[in-house]
Amino acid sequence: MSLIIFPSSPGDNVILEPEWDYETNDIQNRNEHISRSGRRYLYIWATMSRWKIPVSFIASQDASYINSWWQSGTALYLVDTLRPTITNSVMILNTSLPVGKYVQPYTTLYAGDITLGTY
Amino acid sequence: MPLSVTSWFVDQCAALVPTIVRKFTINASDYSSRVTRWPTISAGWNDLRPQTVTIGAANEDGAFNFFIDNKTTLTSSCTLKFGFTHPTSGDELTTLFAGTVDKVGYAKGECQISLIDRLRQLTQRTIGKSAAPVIWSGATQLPSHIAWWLCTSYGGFSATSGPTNPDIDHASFLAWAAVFSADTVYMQARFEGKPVIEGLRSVGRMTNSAIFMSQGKLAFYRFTNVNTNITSLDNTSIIDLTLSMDDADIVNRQYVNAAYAPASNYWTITPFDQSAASINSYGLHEDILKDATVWYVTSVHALNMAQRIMFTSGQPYERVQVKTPLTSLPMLIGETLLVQDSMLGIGAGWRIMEKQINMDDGMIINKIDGSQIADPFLLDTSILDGTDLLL
Repeated sequence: MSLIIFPSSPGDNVILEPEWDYETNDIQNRNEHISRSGRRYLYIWATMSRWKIPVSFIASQDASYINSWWQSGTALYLVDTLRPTITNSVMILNTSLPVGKYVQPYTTLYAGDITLGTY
Repeated sequence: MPLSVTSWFVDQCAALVPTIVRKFTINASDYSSRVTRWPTISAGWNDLRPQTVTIGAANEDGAFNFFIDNKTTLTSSCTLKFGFTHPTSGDELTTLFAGTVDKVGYAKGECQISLIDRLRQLTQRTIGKSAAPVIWSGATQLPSHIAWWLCTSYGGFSATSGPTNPDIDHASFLAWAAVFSADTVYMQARFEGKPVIEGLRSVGRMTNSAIFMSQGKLAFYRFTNVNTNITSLDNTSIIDLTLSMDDADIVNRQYVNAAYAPASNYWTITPFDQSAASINSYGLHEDILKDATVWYVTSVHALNMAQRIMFTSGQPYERVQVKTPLTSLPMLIGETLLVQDSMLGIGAGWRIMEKQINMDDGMIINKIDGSQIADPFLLDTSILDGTDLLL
């Protein structure tokens, strides 16, 4: 599988090949109220999706794109090639530079952990 | 006086997993997606004062900086709506709050927006002056006439008749006025510089009326005897229930001062009604109802008011606080309902007198009591020979 991310305004795509510890994680803003008879009322206010994408061997140009999108808080689209009909509106949620580690012994390839979340 | 929504909306309130929609608008622009913290909206039957609610909103991109750039936007009209998404016909929403921006505060990436309801306008305008008081001294003025003049001529509320009135729930006002008209209850008034809301509060207190904001408009009610309870609350929707009684609620001799003479600061008539049975049981609990701005003209109507209070206040009444999910959203203040709790052994019919709706988590707190209701007449067909005999 691959993940394609690209800005919502015209720009370049970056294709990511996630490592094996790639994770998707949905979070719900919800409240549960249980009545005295045991009836359970569930109020789901919002569902947010998150992706933790460990990457390596990222070309320096792609690393630059990703890091600049993170720096500017650019709104992005994410497409999973396993579900190509679904386009998710996402932002990079990392609190520090997402792709900044060199991959030994190369000086032009990078690794990192990218966290994406819907908004 | 149930919420004016479709039966589908009522069904959704009782649904286990409804598709809920919350909407926050400023000048009709939708800012719902920016809300980080939704408010709790409160109202009480005799708590006539402006309500404020505070909303937390995401402002990391400066979307709410327009309040700083253009300070007149602080007068923007705002609404808070709540409802459900219908699978085919879209959203059905009801207005829980309507008002204007009161205050804004900016901290870190958040904008805190305080809203205040339409009653603020009635606190910012006054009626009469000491040197030139506003006097209604006619002998045939209904309390509803005085309230209408206060709201429209002095408070600046719309005087439009019908459901298009943006400020006043006109249907409830007409029904309220009809009560006084049918009984020819007359009042006089004199205002020497009070805020309009205080005058309206006096009318409400002297007539034992419920005046409060309901669905964004000022609603008027005078509760009467009921023949049936509209709805019920039981353990399928009660999350928590507390019950209390207070000796201070007892009034067994009620005076109502009337025919005020402003020149001598004196009420020339003081009729009263009392409950001898209550005095024997609980001791004497007296109360005097008097107001130098709004007063009854004749002893007949003052006595009628005293009798009205004695009807329910001769003994302490149960105050029940019931916490529910959205099941009680369609039940408005003033609505009569049965509250059933087998442990406390209650199953009586009371009225909702206060309501708090938490838009953030969907929890509703109803304060329900018997202060404005006599036991309803319930026809128990099980003790009759058969329902056919009713025909």
